[in-house]
Amino acid sequence: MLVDAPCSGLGVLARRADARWRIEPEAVSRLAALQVQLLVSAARLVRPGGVVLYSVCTLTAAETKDVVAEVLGRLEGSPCELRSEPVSGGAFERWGAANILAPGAAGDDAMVIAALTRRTDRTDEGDDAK
Amino acid sequence: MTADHHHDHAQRAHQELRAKVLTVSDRVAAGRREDATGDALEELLESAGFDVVERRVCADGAETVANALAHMAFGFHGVIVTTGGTGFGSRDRTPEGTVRVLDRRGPGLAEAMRAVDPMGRLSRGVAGTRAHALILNVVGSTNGAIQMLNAVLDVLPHALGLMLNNDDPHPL
Repeated sequence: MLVDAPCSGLGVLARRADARWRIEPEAVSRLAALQVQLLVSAARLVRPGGVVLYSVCTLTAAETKDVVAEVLGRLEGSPCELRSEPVSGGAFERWGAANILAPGAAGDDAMVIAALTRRTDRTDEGDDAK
Repeated sequence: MTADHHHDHAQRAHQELRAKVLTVSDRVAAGRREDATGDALEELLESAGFDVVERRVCADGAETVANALAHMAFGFHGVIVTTGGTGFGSRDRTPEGTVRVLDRRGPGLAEAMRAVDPMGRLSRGVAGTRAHALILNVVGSTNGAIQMLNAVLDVLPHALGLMLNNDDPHPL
């Protein structure tokens, strides 16, 4: 399940130059809160064992790795608990519980992604055992 | 000299100095050689008051170097010293990878490093800034790398200070 979340877009200013004038400082915290809601909803919708792929084209910690940390913490111990798997390949590197493509690492654009795997329900594991 | 000046210098002397070292070498990356030069650079930086917060190794190549430097410079204020890949060897592409990520060139630093030894003429190393990081290419040989870094070490704290705060650009 892909959650290509709304964000401030600061990682793609090279291609969307107008964003630097349209974005307002308070948008960062508003979009971060929206992203948390979207990811929590996605965690409930994805099947047990399924993956929520979160992607944003910005670089503020608040809208990226902090969102992932918040969601992981909020769902910890619940049936839709997520764990963040490192993404290998390409020019991505681990950044907190997320993965960053730093500006300049592969062209001018930058983004942050996280592969969030929902835990397998106990009932499912029981079924598998049979 | 005024009391204010003394105060500024004292503050500068106490600024937190951070550094990272990138070793560019096919052989070190493949685990076929010890990273002796990276170790020596870390030791020299630490003795000059820098906190070496990251060591990294990548294979030779413009893309590998640019990729590593982009990640190392992201959100970082400090010096990044690269070692290796600056010469005329067929795989040497460290300067090409470095200029891909530089915002501004610092040729004075590069030339001062080149001038330390006749062999410096064979170094194509560059220096410059990316955001708040100051990047220096030094050669791969341990002695050469240490000589080159020593040639500019004294001005690095001032350069790093200016990159954050340009209020007092000519204190001397």
